[in-house]
Amino acid sequence: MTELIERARQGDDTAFGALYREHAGRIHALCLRLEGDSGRADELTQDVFVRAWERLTTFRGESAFSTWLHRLAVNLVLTDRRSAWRRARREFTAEDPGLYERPREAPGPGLRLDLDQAIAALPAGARAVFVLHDVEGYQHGEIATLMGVAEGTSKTQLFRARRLLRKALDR
Amino acid sequence: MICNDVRERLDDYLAGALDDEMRLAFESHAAACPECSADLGAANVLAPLTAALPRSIEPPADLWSGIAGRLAPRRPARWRMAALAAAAAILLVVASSAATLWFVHSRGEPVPIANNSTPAIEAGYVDASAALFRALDSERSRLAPATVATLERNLAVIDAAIAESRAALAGDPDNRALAAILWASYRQKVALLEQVTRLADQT
Repeated sequence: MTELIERARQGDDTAFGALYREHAGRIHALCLRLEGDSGRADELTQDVFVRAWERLTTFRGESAFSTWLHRLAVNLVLTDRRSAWRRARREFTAEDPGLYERPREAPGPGLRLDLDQAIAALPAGARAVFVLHDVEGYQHGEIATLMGVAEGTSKTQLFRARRLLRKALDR
Repeated sequence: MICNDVRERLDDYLAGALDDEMRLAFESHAAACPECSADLGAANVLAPLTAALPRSIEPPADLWSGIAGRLAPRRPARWRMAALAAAAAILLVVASSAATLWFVHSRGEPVPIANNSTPAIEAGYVDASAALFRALDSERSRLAPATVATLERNLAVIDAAIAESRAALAGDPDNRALAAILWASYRQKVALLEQVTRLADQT
């Protein structure tokens, strides 16, 4: 365990600030791609680091700090998304069951590359699976557990995401 | 091979992990099936683009101030130590009182030591020493290595005495002198741990 982590565990917020500067870019990129919205990604990045501060005493150094933080971020964002999906289902099911899963018309600001823009425009479920599998390297079994879906659903969403992305990039 | 097989194996195909027979069957199906051909094409086009994505995208500069304002102060370690030491002291008082009561009651008439109160008395001492040991263990780094070594040597001697007394009592449960030696060893262990815990707290 590095000295910075040990000091942060003891309650040193300056040391935690240094850890934030070291890892913020990676966590922000993850939140941005999973959410596809820069404003929400900023909020989630803040939530991830606040949660990390709260849970830091449980970090035992069994894995790298970056791995622990990344997993914490994925869990937090997906939990947030599950709540959003539940809210969307309650709001839209009666009128339009597919509304919450439709691709977005335009991505939010903050994403510069063509592929990132296309990822941001994916429907939420397909976007999460694509980011976790193709960008972050998770296996379908892990994604299924994290998202609370069947492994087959994860695979189907990945193919859907890839086809939509190809189509978007061919335009 | 059918479309589902191709989907199942597409990532392995891209990674070059299929054996020759499977790879030929895969390619043969993909060449004849527009759907699978499209999936393969999409994966091939996207793989290098995905690999080239930046792994880090810096957040806005003012994000940290929003985080810093939400960080609850963490209770300093020495407060946790003091709380644990206080809890252990309470357990010690309870155990000592129970032991005293046992001696007073057993003085008038012979009462077997292995009665119902004995496990409770021993549990009190065990809990007290365990609580202190946990407190001390979390702060071990504050102590000088020589102090830690001395502590560990002394604890080993006391633990050996406790084990010896317990074994003797198991063979002679009515022997009050053996019981007194056992409780004295426990008291010694708790006192030693208390002393070193205070020392760690002051450093």
